[in-house]
Amino acid sequence: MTDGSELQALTQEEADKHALHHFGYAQQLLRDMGGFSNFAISFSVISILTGAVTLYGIGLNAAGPAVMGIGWPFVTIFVLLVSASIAELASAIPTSGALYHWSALLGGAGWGWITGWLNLIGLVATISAIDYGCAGFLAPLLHMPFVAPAEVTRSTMQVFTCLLLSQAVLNHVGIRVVSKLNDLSAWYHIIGVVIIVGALAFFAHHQPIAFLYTSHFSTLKLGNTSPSYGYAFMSGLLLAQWTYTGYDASAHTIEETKDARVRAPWGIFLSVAISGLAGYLLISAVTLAIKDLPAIAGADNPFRAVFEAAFPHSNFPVVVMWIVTLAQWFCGLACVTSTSRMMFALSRDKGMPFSSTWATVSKKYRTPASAVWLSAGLAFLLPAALLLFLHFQPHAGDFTTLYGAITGISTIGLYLSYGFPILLKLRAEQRGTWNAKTYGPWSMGSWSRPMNAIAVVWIAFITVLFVLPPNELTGKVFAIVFVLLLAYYAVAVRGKFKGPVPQARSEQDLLRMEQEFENLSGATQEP
Amino acid sequence: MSAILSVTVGAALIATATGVAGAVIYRAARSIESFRHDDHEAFTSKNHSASNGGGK
Repeated sequence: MTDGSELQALTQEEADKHALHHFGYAQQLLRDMGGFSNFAISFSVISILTGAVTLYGIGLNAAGPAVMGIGWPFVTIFVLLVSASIAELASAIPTSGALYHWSALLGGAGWGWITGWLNLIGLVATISAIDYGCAGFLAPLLHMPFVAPAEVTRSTMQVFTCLLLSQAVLNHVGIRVVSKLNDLSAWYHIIGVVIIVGALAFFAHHQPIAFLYTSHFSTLKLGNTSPSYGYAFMSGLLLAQWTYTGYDASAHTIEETKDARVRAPWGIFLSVAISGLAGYLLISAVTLAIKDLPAIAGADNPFRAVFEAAFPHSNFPVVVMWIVTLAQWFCGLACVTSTSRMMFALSRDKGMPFSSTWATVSKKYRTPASAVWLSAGLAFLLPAALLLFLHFQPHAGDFTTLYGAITGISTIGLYLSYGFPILLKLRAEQRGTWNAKTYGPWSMGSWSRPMNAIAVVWIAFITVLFVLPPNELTGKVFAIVFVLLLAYYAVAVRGKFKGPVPQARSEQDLLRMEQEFENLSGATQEP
Repeated sequence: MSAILSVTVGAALIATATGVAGAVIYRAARSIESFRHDDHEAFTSKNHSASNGGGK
């Protein structure tokens, strides 16, 4: 292995490879992403134009404008700490398995496996939710046969399938094209926010700033009773919390990022920080443009209703819907990238059934092509399986409610998978196995432990909040999935899954593997 | 809550969020500047075996 004095003299490319070799992995994926692209992928998955828009009505109905004015910055403070805690782990252990790999190294194979699967379930459910939601927006915009947004129609499934196919094909053919599209997506989100905020600021009716902090409005009902405003406000916090997910994408693409130990952590943290700022501007501007609060809250789509009331006799609401729909497509594209890298990493360590298939890398494109198609395939199966189930059990419930509950587990899965490695890192610090020298270049130094501790407490708090009424159905679905996961682990995985598996015994062997891979890759690309 | 109190709470939260973001950025930038590759210990199987005693 390279000794310490030689390390400072390594080129950046060599240093990135050397860091990966430390964990026993060869550089198989194409390392071609810059810092902006790494930031852009997480920023695209968070996608303020998706989360803050599609969930706007839930927040507004829960506790009115205060959810935007007070709830959003309140949640942002804690999510910043979660993202900073994840960022320093990415800097210390820069592998695409990320959360799974960190948990496995910090707590053992069992912790790694459960973290990896929770993350994977969360990511697949996110793709399903985003793309199905996007199809629901796109089908009527394309004037396809469509009955109502809440009703499952053939056209929505057709559009959903086309969206998934387009994202899978692009992810298959290379990280270069995907990272360029993610770069475009980041600018697109910023420009989209500027257009919407600008139009509202200059051409719409305004409420006084104090309206943003109105803290007495709620339409939330639990059964036949109205909960206290405090409870309703906490329920409304989920608007922001659901939006802030998926920023682990920067860590999943860390083996494809140059100067990974510095740029990927910045990507994680800044994607949250900038989403926080831009998202706040967006929802504040929309809220201040509300003329009639009860009427807007009672509309089918309160976000759209704000624009229809603010710009009557104009096509601007349709333009806004197009802006949001394309943002959702960008979000789905980045989600497929993130999910496939996670699958690739877990399979590389034999943590999934048929691992050797999902761990293969396309020699031509140097992407985890099988994992890309599996990600898209599983995302397609989620609504398809539910439709099939409801075909045979039509009295089990309505599609929209059940699908919402199923995809709702995405956030719980993702946040638990963020929380486990942070908690295990705190435990390792307590035991002395994690010390000041273990941190990568991006760290919070002496602030790290208190910040990590607050992040873990926040994750515990929101995990409970995610499953309290009116979201108890999501809680039940998650409980079933979690019990099934633990049972599968106990029966088929425990003792067999060993956690991270080095691909070779020495750095020389890893270098030889990389050379062979590059030769094959070069040969495949020749005409 | 009265309007003035609500606005004050909102402004304090925005200031805190901005402060937290700024402080983490400042601290991380300092840490990157002072990082030395030759002083770094990768957290690999060596540490893992030590920490795995109480794990699953």
